[in-house]
Amino acid sequence: MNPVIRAQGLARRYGSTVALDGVDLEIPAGRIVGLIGPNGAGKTTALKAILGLGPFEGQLEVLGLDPRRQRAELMQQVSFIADVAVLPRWLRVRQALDITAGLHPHFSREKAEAFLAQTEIKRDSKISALSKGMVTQLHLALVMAIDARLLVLDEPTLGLDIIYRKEFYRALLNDYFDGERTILLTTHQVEEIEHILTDLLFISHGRIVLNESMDALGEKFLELATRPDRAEEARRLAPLSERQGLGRHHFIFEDRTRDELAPLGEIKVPGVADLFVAKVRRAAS
Amino acid sequence: MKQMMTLVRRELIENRSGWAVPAAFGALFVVAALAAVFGLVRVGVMDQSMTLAEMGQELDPSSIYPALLVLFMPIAVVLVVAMTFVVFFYFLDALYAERKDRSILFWKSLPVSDLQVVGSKYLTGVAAIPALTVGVFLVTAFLVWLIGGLALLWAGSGAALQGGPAALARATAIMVYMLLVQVLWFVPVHGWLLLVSAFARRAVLGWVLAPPALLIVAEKILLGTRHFADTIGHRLIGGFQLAFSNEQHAMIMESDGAVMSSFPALGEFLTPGRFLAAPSLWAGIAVGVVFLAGAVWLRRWRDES
Repeated sequence: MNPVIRAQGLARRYGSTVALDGVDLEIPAGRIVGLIGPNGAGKTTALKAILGLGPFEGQLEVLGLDPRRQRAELMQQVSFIADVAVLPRWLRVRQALDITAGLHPHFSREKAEAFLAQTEIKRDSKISALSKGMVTQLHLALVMAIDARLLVLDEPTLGLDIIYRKEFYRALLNDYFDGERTILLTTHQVEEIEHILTDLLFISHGRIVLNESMDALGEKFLELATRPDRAEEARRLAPLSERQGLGRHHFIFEDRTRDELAPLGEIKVPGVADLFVAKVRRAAS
Repeated sequence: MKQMMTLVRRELIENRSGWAVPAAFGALFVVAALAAVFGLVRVGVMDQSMTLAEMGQELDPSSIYPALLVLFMPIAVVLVVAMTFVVFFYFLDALYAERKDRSILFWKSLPVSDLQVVGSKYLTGVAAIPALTVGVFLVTAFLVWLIGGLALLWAGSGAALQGGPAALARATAIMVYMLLVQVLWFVPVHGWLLLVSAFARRAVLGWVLAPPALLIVAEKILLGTRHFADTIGHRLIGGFQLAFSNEQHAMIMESDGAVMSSFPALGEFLTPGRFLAAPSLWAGIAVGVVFLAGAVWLRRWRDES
């Protein structure tokens, strides 16, 4: 089966700044991919290229289409939420449903109504009168009612409180994801999404520094917690990173077996956030 | 087709002034007609003035039809002028507002091309808003005629009621002609507005006015001529000079105690042949199409988020 996204040498410069530095990438169908990177790493630039919102160099195919030349066709099968609060504020909820139904051939009004029925959003409200959380719920209801093959979410929960954030991802996973669609998302709150991801992409300085499935992550990366007196032995195994906690030294290792590390202390699979910091620091140095 | 209808509807939801401003002017005419009927306002003809009821009795029955046209045409002209300003500001905002409030990212997530979107905005300004204005005119003129006609009937003459539909049809035809002339003549003006609306980061009105103003000043200083200023002036009013005969006038006059009114025949009054044969019309359309294409290109590739 063809990958949903295939990029080769994807690059973009803003003046002298290199935002994307030759990214090679393949994302197959049916994955939930987290694109994680520090500010200015090229996340949004990459998403914009994929969505045909900006120019780029190199090769890029999304669902077999060229986002530069075939954008309108592409948008029939790709939906995205660029950011919170970009729904037009002068629109009423009912009109937003009417217009999306009038413009999108794969939009199911019944589905959108069903999602909205679970919220407190009134059909006659203006979007400007809704809270930020409600606007996001509405946007999600519109997007989830579109039968798309790829959904791209760029910081979809930025500025939302924890209840809405949890609800957002719960709805996405339970009501939308069906194992065939592909979801590509970025967020700063990595901890909140690591349990729903199937794949992890780290990006730093315009380059992909990690591209692993979550299943493979536990085999490739291990976190070791040692007592201070054994720290020196651990350092000799060339850890990716080291940090100190309550009477323990924590190391993250790449490509070390459990047998190698077990004698030194306790082993677990590192959290995505810690792994991210380790990988990005390593890539930067 | 369904998409285009939806896009135009979206524009009319966002820009309610498209029909609200003409409707407000229409309402003023209806109020004025009521005021005239109740004798609050006197209608002036030459140096005399009379109430509408007096005027109705003195009016020659054969000139009731032109009199009604003379009554309807100012309504049409005022509505067209009001609409011209509404459309000006609509185009100014059309591709700017969605960038300013960042809702462009939502619109771009829907499967419509930038050509369709800019096309829908252009159509809203040159077809939907003018059509609504014609609708407002029909309602306004009908009410004014009904109010005046019933008042004259009560004063003893049914002539005004009989002449109404024909005069209304004629006035509407002239108004539609005026609008068509304006749409064709203003292609470069509207194109320029949409181009700037897609381009400017702020101060859209300034970007609209500054380049032509600077060109005029630069030409004056460097060459001492004013060709560009003349071109702009021609662009603003020249179309109407070409499309309407300047020898024919509508009038109401009083002679020997009877009020006479005349209105030129359409064949003499309207000069579509001269308008369509003018090279400056087609040159303007060509420039306008380039501006519109630029607006589409900017909406497609402008990346400022």
